[in-house]
Amino acid sequence: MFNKKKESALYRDNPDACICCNICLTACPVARATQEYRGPKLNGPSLTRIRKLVTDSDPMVHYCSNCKNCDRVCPSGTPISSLNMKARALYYKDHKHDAADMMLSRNEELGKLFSSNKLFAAGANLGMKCTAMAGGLKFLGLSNDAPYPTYAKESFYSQFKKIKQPSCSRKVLFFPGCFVNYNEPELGLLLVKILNYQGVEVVIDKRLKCCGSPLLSTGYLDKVEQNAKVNTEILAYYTRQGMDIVTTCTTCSLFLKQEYAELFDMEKEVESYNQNLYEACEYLLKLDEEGLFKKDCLGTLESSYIYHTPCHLKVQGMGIPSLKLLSYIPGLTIERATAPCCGLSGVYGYKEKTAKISETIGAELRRQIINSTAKAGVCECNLCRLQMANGTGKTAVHPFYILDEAYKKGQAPGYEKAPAAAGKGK
Amino acid sequence: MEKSDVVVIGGGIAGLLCSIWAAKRGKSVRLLTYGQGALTVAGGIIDLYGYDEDGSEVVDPIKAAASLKAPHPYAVVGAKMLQQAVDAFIKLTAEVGYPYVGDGHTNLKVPTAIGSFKNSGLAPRCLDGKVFDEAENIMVVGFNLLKDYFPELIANGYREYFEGSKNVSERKVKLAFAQGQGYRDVSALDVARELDKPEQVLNVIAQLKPSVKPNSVLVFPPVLGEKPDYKIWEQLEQELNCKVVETSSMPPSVTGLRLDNLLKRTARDLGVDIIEKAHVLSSRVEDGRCLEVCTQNYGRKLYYSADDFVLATGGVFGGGLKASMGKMTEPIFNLEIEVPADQADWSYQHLFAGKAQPFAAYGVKVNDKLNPLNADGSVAVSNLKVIGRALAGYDFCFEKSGNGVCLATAYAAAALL
Repeated sequence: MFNKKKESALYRDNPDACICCNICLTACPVARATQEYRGPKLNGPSLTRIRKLVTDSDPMVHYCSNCKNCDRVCPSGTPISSLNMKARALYYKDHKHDAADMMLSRNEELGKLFSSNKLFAAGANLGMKCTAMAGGLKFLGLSNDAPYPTYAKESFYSQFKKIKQPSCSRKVLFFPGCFVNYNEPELGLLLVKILNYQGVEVVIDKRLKCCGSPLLSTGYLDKVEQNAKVNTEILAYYTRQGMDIVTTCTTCSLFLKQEYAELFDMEKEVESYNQNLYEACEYLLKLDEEGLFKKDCLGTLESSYIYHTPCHLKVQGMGIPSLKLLSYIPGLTIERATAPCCGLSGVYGYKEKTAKISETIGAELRRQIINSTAKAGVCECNLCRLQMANGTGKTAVHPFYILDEAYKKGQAPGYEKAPAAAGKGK
Repeated sequence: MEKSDVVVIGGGIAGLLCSIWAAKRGKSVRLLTYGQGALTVAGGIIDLYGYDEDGSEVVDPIKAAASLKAPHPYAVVGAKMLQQAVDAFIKLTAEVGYPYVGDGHTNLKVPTAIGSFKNSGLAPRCLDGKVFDEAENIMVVGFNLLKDYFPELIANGYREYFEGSKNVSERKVKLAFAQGQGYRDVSALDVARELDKPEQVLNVIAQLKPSVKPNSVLVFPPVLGEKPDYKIWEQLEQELNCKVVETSSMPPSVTGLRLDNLLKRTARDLGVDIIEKAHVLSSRVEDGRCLEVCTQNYGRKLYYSADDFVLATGGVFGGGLKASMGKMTEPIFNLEIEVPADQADWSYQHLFAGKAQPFAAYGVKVNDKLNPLNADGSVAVSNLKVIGRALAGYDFCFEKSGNGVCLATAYAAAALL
């Protein structure tokens, strides 16, 4: 009875799913911020029909931030943002990439290099800061004002090796993504600690590649496909071993479960693991359903946070697992921000060309965070958090830091003895 | 997934209202939506019953609804329920600071973007055409670059309609929109977002003030703010010392977005768990009871269980019903819709045939508890209620009863849970 063909599968690469109702235009943060963008419907399905006939080099292709709000509100299942990204990639078939594209798309290589050595990391972080302060990033086509992540002194993979985990019968594969691996390894360590505490052992596989989000945004579609091939094969292998896959990054989970299938002819590959793929908070709720999540050990936290829902989570069709998870912490107050998008969208906020639009989009969320009485922000998405802390005078953390605090406060038996040495909240 | 009291499928006006009213009755509600509902394209005004089966204007919608026969949804739930739904809706909108007008016993005259008036039951105060009655002067206000809105057309419509009894003029306001090649066409939504900036409202006032005569109605496109409140409307009336009214207009619908925004905010504040982009694939029904429904988009299949389910997925256009040659089905619960085997019998030759189209009335047949029925009249799923456009027995387009049926059946379903 549950085996009907998904409607979404029928619409891959098909602009004619669109009925031109224009609902996407009402939800597009870029169209709200600038009259220069004709909007998702025109740039995506409408112009794709023309692109199928003639070579098109419409400058409109640079405006989409791939935030996916158009896909979220589309009643017809049109893969609008994927059509936008394909149009951008098509544009670069006969146009040159600028320096910003080349740099931003190499987040994985740069991360690997800089977080391999603490001097490299310190040098890169300082260099970035100084260049931005001197206004020099502009020469690379990068914004001087955007909130860039800093590189970690030691990558997550390297730190993971030193953890002595308890041996558990239940194991999960952790997909850290570039951000956790090279910029915020503390979050990865915290995930190991919290999962170990629930009786789950964490496995990593260094062959996994970047999910491909920065590559896609900068128009390197072929490279995304190469990464997709590597990743889907590895994820399918672990699924066959009976393991679940967990990631803390909502963009990574979106790519692994949706983008690959929507962009490429990879539906089968994705289906070979997608029933085992979980966002980290979602996974803890799954443990909770099985009675395995130690929620009784969460101590009372008399603090308040303002929560922002990442666009890439909203479009995944699973609600907001973290809110349910955080509701288990006694005393905790979570205020929900209602701003539609943080605006950063990774590459989008860093490229000088689109940084201004990104800033306009982000203004509403910034205003809400500043006006909130909450002491800090909370959000699953790494880049949203950077934006939430940018110019608001408040920090923003992943929900796991709040869980960690609550376990510590509740003096959860055996929690601090867990071998994974977790870092402090940022 | 953790069980809730009620799972509502569909995030249009019927699904949102049913979720809100069920939550107000203390139920835990989960709302599964796939894409934004038609409120974004429709005008956010509530047609109750504008024209009877002969096409004659209805004077008292609720009274006229009382004489309808099943399977018309109004006959299924009863005129009393319709009255309660109207009252509850007015109360709901008043509570959140955007009160609608209308009592269900008269039809309002809502001004349209072609200079005519449309019969409708309930509307925001700023769309109520009664302000024309007393006015001597009508000034149609346009905006430079605004697409799909023609002040001259509207003004000519009024000249004809009022037969010279009122002095009709037009006036264009200029806002500094970037224009030319490389820029998007300006829609009513763009103008509304501009007017959400206080300095732009003052700009509009300054441009209009010199030409506003005493005892005037100013007719605006639906641009008086994106949010569901009357702040800009009130400010204009006060500072220009005249009456102001908005017309309905082309999609994207600003007035519809206001209602959508209002209902979603209310639902969220009441603790309704809204799951977006949740494409419901199928249901598990055992012994005539639904145990759970399954959603899948790209990732994991998710299962939602509840004591009661409400189906508010709309008609063929909304994806709630699937039509093929000589056949129509409701895809989630596999309900067969009774239709003529020969497709030629589904419609009259002319779309505007002057009578209700047969195809428009195809839908799920229900009992007085809104449970779906099998062809033999037995109940198909005892803990499922069907509301809104998925129901059989009426042509919302011909009668002008679309949102009214949604209102009445959503209210009835919440009351019957």
